This record gives sequence, structure tokens and C-alpha cells, in this order.
Amino acid sequence: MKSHSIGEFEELVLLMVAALHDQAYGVSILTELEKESGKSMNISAVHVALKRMEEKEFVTSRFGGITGERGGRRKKYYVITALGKQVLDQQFTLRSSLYNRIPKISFG
Amino acid sequence: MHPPRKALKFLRWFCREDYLEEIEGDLVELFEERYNSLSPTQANRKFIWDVIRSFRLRNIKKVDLSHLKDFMMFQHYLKIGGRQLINNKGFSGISILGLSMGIACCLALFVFADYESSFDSYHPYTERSYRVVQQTQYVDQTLYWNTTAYPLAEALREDFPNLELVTQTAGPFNSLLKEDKEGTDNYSFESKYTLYVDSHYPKAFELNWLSGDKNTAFNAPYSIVLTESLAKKIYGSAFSFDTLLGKRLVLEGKEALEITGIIEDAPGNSTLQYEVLIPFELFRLKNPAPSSNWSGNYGGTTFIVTSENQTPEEIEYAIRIWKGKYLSEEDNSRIQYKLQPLDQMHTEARYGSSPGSYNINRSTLMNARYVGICILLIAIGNFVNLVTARSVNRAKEVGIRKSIGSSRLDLFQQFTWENSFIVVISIIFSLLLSSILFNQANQVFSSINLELNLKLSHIGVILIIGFLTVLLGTSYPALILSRFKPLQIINNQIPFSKTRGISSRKAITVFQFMIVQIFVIATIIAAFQMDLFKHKPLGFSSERVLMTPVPQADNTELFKNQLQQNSNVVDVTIGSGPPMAVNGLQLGSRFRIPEMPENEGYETELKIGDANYLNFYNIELLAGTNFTKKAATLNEFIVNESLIKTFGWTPEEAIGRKIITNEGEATIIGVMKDFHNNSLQNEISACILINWEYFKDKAFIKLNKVDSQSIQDIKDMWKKSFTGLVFSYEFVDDSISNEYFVETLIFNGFTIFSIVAILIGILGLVGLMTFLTTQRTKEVGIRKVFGASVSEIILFFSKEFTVLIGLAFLLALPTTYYLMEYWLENFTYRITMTWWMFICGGLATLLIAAVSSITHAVRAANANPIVSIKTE
Repeated sequence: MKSHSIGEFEELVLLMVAALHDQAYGVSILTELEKESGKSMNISAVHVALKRMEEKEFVTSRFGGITGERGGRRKKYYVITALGKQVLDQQFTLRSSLYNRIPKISFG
Repeated sequence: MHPPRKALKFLRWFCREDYLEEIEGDLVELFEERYNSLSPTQANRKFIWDVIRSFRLRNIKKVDLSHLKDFMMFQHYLKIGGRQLINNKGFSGISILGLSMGIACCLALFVFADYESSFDSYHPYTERSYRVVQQTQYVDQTLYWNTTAYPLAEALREDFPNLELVTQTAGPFNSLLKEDKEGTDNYSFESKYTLYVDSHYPKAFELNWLSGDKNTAFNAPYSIVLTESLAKKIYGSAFSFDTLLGKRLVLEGKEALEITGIIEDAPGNSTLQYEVLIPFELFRLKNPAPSSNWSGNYGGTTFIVTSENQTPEEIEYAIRIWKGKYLSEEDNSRIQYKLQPLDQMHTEARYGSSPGSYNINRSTLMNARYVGICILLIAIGNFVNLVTARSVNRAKEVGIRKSIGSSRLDLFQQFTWENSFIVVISIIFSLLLSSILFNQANQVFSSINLELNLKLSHIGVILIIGFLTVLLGTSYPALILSRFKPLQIINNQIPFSKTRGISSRKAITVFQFMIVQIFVIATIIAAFQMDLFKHKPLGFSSERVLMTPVPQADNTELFKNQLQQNSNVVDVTIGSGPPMAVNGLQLGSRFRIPEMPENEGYETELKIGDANYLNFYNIELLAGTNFTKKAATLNEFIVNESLIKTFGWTPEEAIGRKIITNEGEATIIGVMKDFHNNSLQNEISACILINWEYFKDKAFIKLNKVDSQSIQDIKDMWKKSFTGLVFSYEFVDDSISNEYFVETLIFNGFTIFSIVAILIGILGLVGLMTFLTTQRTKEVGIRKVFGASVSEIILFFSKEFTVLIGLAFLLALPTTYYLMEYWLENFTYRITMTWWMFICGGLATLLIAAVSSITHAVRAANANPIVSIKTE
């Protein structure tokens, strides 16, 4: 039974994998994340998060075809699994339920 | 447009293959994009940074572990070895016991030799420090002194400014300290080793200051530096050392000295022992005459530290030319000053030891190491025998291993590892054993401050011993085992079919028992020599004689009178020392007849005794009379036989002759029968007994019975006669046996080690017998079927080791004879070795061996032949 825990950065990457459906590979995830968050990140952090989640079976991967770009190296595309989606849902429920408990008066 | 090659190469080198394409591709894509959007340099820099960031444990290639097959095999061997150990507890126990005893003994002897060689080697300038020693040349002999005249140090310092340091000491002397307080008359403390040192001393010698300043502590003459233990004895341990500075102590009831420092106790491996250090300046003030006298030698020691570019020979030569400036013409022709390296003071015995210390010859230490190696060799031999004997049981395993592809090398490795495993366990045990041994030894020899400890620096020795054991003890059995042929084993042919004739196992046993017998015979011979030391008639009787100093001459009569009224006291005499010189105390002088020129003469010992001295010690007079004159003036000599032999006189002729000594001229009134005035290592020397007023500083009291009450009585009387002093006593017999301290030490060591050697040898023999009996089970069965009786079979087995031990005995004979002859040559009074001492040793070994191995023979002989024939 693999652990279903997920880190903050991993969650972001997983969300991005899901959002970029079928077009998610290292560089695209990185550029999209940088664009959305406005912070610069390192590609190797993305790689590590992807590999970890692959081990946890939140994502699966496949190689793309050989193109002229990247010196002929294949892209590795990531797709979210059902388990990954389930984890994302859980995270979302947890967050929104907590968010809803914030009393309205505080920031009137 | 190409990403930095080196970074790319690095990435490809470390990155695991299944990740490489993705990571490399992503990095290159980023690079290409940055190359266009930013600048080539920035793209390069970022690419390198990305590579570095990708260098993570997760991305690194998995290390290929397949070449670590050896390690896995090692684990396997360890496991198999462990199982073997546990399954054969008896065998493992014997091997480990024997080996750890051997290693422990060897280690102990090496640590001991190490400790003894470490004397005085820890000072700041040890390699450049020398003690100035003196050789005095006479016609008939050379005298060796470790002390020199007091003015020498100062003269050297002035005339040899090139020397780095010159320092001198006086003593150590026995002295008395009192707290400087009203009404504390009885709080006296004895310092056995009061050493006077000059202000240069702390520079040349390591003292470890706990309090006080080493540069100024000896500047004022009325200063005193205490050792930690004495300070605690006087003031208790409640005080911090700093608060003691400035307090006053009174020396010998006269000088009040201010405490200027506290130092650590003198280590056990220091030749100069001290409890208290006092500035030499005070000694000079108190003893102006001796400290300026060039011809007297009164317990002063001179040390020099040469500067870096000087050789000792150079300085010795310079001193030889220079000394005439101060010495009288006669002294100059006789006295040679030599430089003795500081770290050899302990191991060069001819110069004698200073009070509180002792000497041990370097050759003795070397011999201790040899003994250690011999015992280790016995233990290794024993181990080898046991392992090879047991290897038959492993034959099947070897056969199977070989069949499934083990090479000889693999098997060799296996058995080497397995046996090394036992060696390592034995080493751990031996460390435990030896630390117990050290504890015991340190307690037994606390009188000489023996401090044997296992230190980090001994790791080297332990490693060497371990390496030697592994090398000798495991390679041979491993070689034998790996040589087994699988075909033979499968055919049920047990290897080692050769049980007759010469085999290496037998050779090892012969070697073992040769060493064992050398030990046993040597111990027997040494025991006879020790017995001679203890029981040789010395020519005087000293049973139950107690010796105590009489420090105040005026009150000696009072003390004597009190003693004579006590019923437990048989007799009393006053003199300078017992007939045999003890504790290194001997008064020396020279004598000649009036016809001889003044600068000729012979050495003699002076003994001071009152008119009762001869009677008290039962010394026989061959001619003449005892002292007649009551007045203790120097006019009557009683001399010994050795002295009159110098001139060829008969005892009767000698009476009435005049002889001249340094002390004056007097007439010979009696001739004593020779008694041992020197300990038995040395010859009886010329001796003159004088009833003189000086040096009568000891009372000898013969007691009826010796118990604590009688000693208390004497103490009470002593306290009444001599006030404010500390009573001390010793028994003359004890002091005499102390003269053989080093010999006793060697003898006890030898006894212990020969017992160990025998034990280890027996273990080996038991192993061999086990081997022989299991090997020949079938043969015994067949013999029994054909009618051999049990006793015949036992005899048949006994023949084996009897022959081996006999052979070992023949080999041991010449070696032991040579070695013991060499040892006995040290002593003037020695036993002669006789054949039966050797035979006894041989027989004793044979007997012990027979008793220990007979059980195996009996078991084999009693076995049911049906069972044994069915074996296989």
C-alpha cells in the first residue's frame, strides 16, 4: 500500500499535469508553472516531483516521438491517473471545507 | 548552438539511463529556448546550473554491486564460520582459550617491555638530554657512579655556554616536613623522596604544574613544591591547590619554606622519584662544604641538554680535556665523565639505580619480548594443529563446494576468513585477559609504581600480533583444506591417510613441546638459583632482626637502655647497616699498608658497628679479639678474610698490622670469617669493621617474637627517645630479599609463563590425540578383533606422543643449557646445572602430557570394535 501523501510542490505539479492534459512534459510544466505563479523554478525540482509521483502512481508516463527539437531526444509525457485525480479531489475538498469554516466577520 | 560539453558529459556520466533521455532532453530544450530569448552566455550558465541541480541521489546511476561478490561471499563465510563455532563448542572453546592466552601473554610482555623502555622518555628535550655519569678507574677495577660532584654543574654551565641547559639535583633524600603552626608538633609528614633541584630543572624536565609558576617556583631558596598526593596528605583534599600557595612548611624542624607550586606525582616510569622539590640553593646553603667539594660524590646528579648541532662524543671529549681545571691531579687521572642518554638511565644497569627506582637491563627486556613471541608461537602451533585435526570433518563440505565450482582460491579464502574470525574473537578475549593481568601486576608491584596500561599506542603491537597469528595460524590449515580432491572424498577416502612418518602436524607438536620444555627446565633451574639466593648461608644470622634509624645520636643510649629492659628484645646493636649492604647503602673507602705509596691502594667497604655487632650477627672471628676500647675512636680495625688475602696474610699474621684508610691509620685487632657483605650477584669484597663515632645511625633489634604488639612497643620507646620524628622500620631479612627484586620478578614471570606454555601445549596435545584417535578408529577396531587388549592399544597411542615429546626434549636440551648458562653468568654465586634438572623437566612435561591425553586413548581403546569397523 503506497502512501497517498502529497507535498505542496508535488500538488502544484500534479495540477499542472492534469491541466496540460496529454501535453505535460518537463519543460511545459515548468514554463506553465512559472507563468502562473510568477516565480522562477528549477527544472530538476519538477523532475524530482514527477518521478516521486510516478512511484506513488499518481501519474503515468510515456515517451513521445522523435522530433528535430531537443537534439533528437524524445519528450516524456505525463498523464494523471485515477488515483492522482482522487488525491487531488481529496486535497480540494479538505481545503475548501477548511476555507468555508473561516468566519465571515473577521475580515469585514 | 551547443550546450556546454563538459556539463553535458558530466550529466551523462552520473545520470541513470532510464532518466537520462528525459532530463537531457528537457535541459537541452530549455537551453535552446534561452539561447534564443536571452543570451548564449546566460543560456550556458543556466544550463550548467540545471545540470548541477539535477545531480541528486535520485538521478544518480545505481552503483553496480555485482563486483562486490567478494563481500557477499565474506558474509557467507562469516555465517558458515559462526555456525561451525557454535556447533563445535568444545573445539571452539579450546582454540579460543589457547589462542587468547597466548596472545594475552605476548601482549602483556610487550606492554611490559614497552613500559620499561619508556622510562624518562617524555621530557621536552629527551633526545638531546644526558645524565653526566662518572667512571672511576682503579688498578683493580672501575667504579660506576650515576652521581657526580656538586660543583660540576655550575662549572659546566659557565665554561660550556653552548650547552642548551645544565641542571642539577641533589638526592632524593628522606626528610621530614611539619606544618608551620603553633601546637602542631606532632603533625609531621615524611617525604621519602625529597629532591633538591635548581631553577633550570623545570625547563629540562616535564613536571605538569597544577598550581604555581614553573619559571619562578625555584627562585627563592626557601621555597618548596609539593606533589599532589603529598599536598593532599598534609592539607586534605578540601583545599583547592591555589589556596595552598604561600603556606609554610618546616623542613627537618629548621627551615620554614613557602609553598610555591603543586605538581603532579612523579610518574612510575621516572628514574628520579620525588615527593617534594626544594631549590638546590637551599641545599647549598645548608651544606656549603659538600656542595663545593670536587672530590666528594654525595648523591648529586648533573644533567645537560646539548644544543641541536652538538654530538655527545664532542662534549665528552671537550670535558675530558677541561676537567683538569678543577679536579686534583690524582682525581683527574682516575675520573672520566661520560654522557648517558636520558632514556637509557633505566636500562643501563651498571651505573646503578637512584633511590626509589630500579634498573632493568635492555637485554632482559629483549628477552621478555622473545618469551612473548615464543608463547605466541606455541599458541599458534596449537591452533594450527586443532584446525587441521578437525578439517577431516569438513572434507565433505570441501568436496561438495569443489564439485559445484569453488576454486582452490575460493576455499582458501573461506578457511582463512573462518579462522581469522576465531583469531579476532581471541584477540578480543586476550584484551580482556591482559587488562586483568595488568591490574594484578600493578597491585603486586605497587612498590615500584608499575603502571601497565593498554594504551592507544599499543594498537600497533596488537595489530602486528594479530597479523602474525592470522598469517601463521590460518594459511596452513586453509592450504591443507583447499587441497582436498573431490573425487577422493566422494569415494569415501578420507584425506590425511598418512598418520605415520613425518607430517607437518607432528613437526608443529615437536616445536611446541620443545619450547614448552625449554620453559619448564628453565623454570626449574631458575627455582634452584632463587633458592640459593634465599637460603644460602650468608655467614651471619639476621632472623627476626628489626632495623630502625637512630637519628639523634645523643639519645641513642637512652633508646638502647629502654630496649634492653623489654623482655621481647633479645639483643641490640648500633651500626651503619646490616652485614649485607641493602637499599644501595654502602660506605666506601680505600686502604693500603704504610709501606705503599700514598696514591696506591684498594677499595674496601667500611662497616660501622659497636662492640656487640659481631656477637649480634653471629659473625665468627678467625683470629684476634673483638673491640676492646670503649672509646669510639679510630684505632682498632676488624677486617675480613678477603681484605687480608690482598696481602697474602694468614689471619694470625694479620693481627697487629697497621693499615691506612682514608679515615686514618689503625691496627688490625681481629679477622672476621668472610660473610656476604654484598648481595649474591656480587662477590664478597674487602670489608673493615670500625667502632667509630660517625655513621652509627641505625639500631638493630633482635626480637623474640614478631607481632604488631612488639613493633608498637618499639615504636613507643622510639618516640620517647627521639621527639618530633617519624618512626620507620624494616626487617633485615626483607631488605635482603629486596636485593633480588629484579631476579624475583623475572623468576615469577617465568613461572607464570611456563605454566601458560604448558597449558597451551596440553590443549594442542589434546587436539592432536583427538585427531589421531578419530583417524584410526577403524584400525583400533581391527586390532581389537584380532585380539589386542585395551592396555596394548593405550600403549600404542601413548607411543605416538612419547616419541614426539622425546624428540622435542632432545632439541630443547642444548638451547636451554646455553640460555641458562648465559643467565647464570650474571651471578657470582650460582648453582651448577646438573643432568637431573633437565631430566626432571622432560619427565614432568611427559607426565602432564600423558595424564591429559590418556583419556582420549582410553576412550578409543574401549570403543566397541563393531561400531568402529562400521565407521564410514
